[in-house]
Amino acid sequence: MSPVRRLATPETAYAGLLVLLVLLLALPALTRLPLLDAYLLFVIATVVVVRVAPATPGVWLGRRAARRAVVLLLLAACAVLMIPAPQVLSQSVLLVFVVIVLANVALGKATERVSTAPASAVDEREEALRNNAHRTAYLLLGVTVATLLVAGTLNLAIASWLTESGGVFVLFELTLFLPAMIIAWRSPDSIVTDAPVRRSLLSASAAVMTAASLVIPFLFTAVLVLAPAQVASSVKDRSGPAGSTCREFQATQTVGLVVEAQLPLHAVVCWDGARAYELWGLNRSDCRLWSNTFAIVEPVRCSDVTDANGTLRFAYEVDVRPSLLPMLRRRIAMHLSVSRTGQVLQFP
Amino acid sequence: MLRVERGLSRQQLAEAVGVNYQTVGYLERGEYNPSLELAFRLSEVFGLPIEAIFSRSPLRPLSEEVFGKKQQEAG
Repeated sequence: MSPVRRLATPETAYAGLLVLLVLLLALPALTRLPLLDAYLLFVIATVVVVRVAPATPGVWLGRRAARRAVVLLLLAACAVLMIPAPQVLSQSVLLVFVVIVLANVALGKATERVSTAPASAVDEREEALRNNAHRTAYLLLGVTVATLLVAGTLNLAIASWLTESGGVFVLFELTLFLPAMIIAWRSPDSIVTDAPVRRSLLSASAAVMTAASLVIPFLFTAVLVLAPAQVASSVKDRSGPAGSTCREFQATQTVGLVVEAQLPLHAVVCWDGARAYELWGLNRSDCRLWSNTFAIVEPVRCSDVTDANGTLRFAYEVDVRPSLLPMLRRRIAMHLSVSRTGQVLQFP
Repeated sequence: MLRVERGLSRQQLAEAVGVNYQTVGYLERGEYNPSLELAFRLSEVFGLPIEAIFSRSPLRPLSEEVFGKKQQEAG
């Protein structure tokens, strides 16, 4: 019996269906957020690469405690999907799916994919284990579906709740992976092999590297949220109307790296001793000139006023959210204040 | 342990009887009871009767068994 099982199993079917569903759901937003879909495709590619690697549980996943932790993680992700979509959750659903896909891969590795292996690939112990797990899963799913049917009969809202939340996804996940979860939960600590395992070093290395690289977007996301903004600014003298003095103000605030947003400010401000005023720039449209990569920018404030003292005050603020974890945000503000005498009170 | 006394790794024994090496480990830890078919296969590999390999009570190491017999013969 080879412990390596390279079969088309629910992990790949599930991942493929997720790609299809997310693409369908994201179609209207595809032009705005194509890179998120690319990331999801990368996740799927990682699943495929990881699946090519030998499916032995290894030291860490061989421990019952670790396997149970994977099961609990999956159940927690399913529980999150069951919440009827509040705004933040619906924006973070991609992350939950990524967690589920990766946990499914870990589950398959931890259980040596016994739950889906054909009869020819399992021995009598594994066959008994699998049969027992499938029987328990069958009963649990039967009870679940029966409960939903009864609840649906009593209260029709359950049907809309199932579709509004990720209830259908959860049922799908449980249908495919509950037997593996049961095996992972029940099995004792694995036996560490005492013979050299014939591994494909290339595929194992590729699996580790691609799996590790999944973290990279999250690191860039952290940089966007936590790292200080980088500011570049310049001021130049410019000619203007007679009796006025003018200067050209140019600044750019950048937050993040790769996952980033840039706020530009470019204007010519003049003053004549009585008031400061803009020759050009500092309009409403200037508050929307940001650029963004893997990030969502939402304007919060845009104001252009000249106060009673003749001081020109221009301000705009935006909230920047990483596309991958849109529940996180940081506020960036761009201010330019020039007094009637040309004193620059605020400028990045 | 019989397998170790025969100089076999779990992997080698598993391949000899056609099971996963994990199953050999679970058999040794007493966490799995084999079918009669598997018991016979193990019996063939070791060249011993089933009752010499499996017991409802913990088996004494072979070395102790041999030493005990020698002591009985000497006594």
